[in-house]
Amino acid sequence: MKRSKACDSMLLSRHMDGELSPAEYDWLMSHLAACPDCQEELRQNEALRTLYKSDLAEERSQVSFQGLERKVLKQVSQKRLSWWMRHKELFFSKKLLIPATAMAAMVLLFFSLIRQPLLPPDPSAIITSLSGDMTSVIVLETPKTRQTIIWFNEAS
Amino acid sequence: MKAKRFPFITLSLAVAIIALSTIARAGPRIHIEAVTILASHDSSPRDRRLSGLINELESVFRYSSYRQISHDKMNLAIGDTGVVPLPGRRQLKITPIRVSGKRAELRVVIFKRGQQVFQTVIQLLNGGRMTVGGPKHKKGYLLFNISSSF
Repeated sequence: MKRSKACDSMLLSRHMDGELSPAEYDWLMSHLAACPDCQEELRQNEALRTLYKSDLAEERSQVSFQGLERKVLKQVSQKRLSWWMRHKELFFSKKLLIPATAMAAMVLLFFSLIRQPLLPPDPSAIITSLSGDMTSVIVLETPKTRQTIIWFNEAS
Repeated sequence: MKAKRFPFITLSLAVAIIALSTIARAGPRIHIEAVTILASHDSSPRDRRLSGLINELESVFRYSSYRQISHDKMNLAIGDTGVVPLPGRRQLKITPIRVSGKRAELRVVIFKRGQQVFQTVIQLLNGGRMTVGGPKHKKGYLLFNISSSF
């Protein structure tokens, strides 16, 4: 049995889903009245849908939604983070870490720019007394570590 | 039994007290190092043993060469004198006088042919170093770098 060129399976499917415009619906009804192939196809589709709906209802009736809800809630509560983990995530999150690092770098830069040069340490040696057979004596201090130097010229 | 133990305990206590008082009287020991250096205008290569010290000396002096002649270490009690033989029949004598705070007071004396030519008393920082220099030797000058720690 050949199907007419006017037969349109897509139109039938859309009809099943209730998506046809009034004009399409009128055309399909008039076509169905004259086309046994399309009548058969429609019947098969409706039978399939009925079967599917009844199976789904049966499956749904066997599912315990309360039990499922309990399982889901249990899993959610297990995934809840501890106090420490929440704070750790907060402090080490990129949202906070990047601005904090930038701020720290700016503070460091600021203080390194305005920092006063370190005061030199005490002189390494304090000279309490000095004597000898010398023509001259010079007491020096190295600029970096303030190391005391006594330079003397022997008399002869 | 108790009567036999008594002399032993007394003796032990006496030994301990004597030992402690000896240690207390000995006072701190001062570790002193004296490095003798010949500074000159030679073109000899840098003495690697003096690398840290040369940087300090070069900030004050303009010698091209600093060569270590000797390095003497001594561990002296207060009042003890350490003797360091120097080139040119010289001698360096160092005597710790006392420790005051973070400084050790040292008497530093240089002899030449048995005659005292230089004498100073310095208060050297714990871990600090100072230099005495000036005596001519060969084509350069002698420097004595003295450091102390206690």
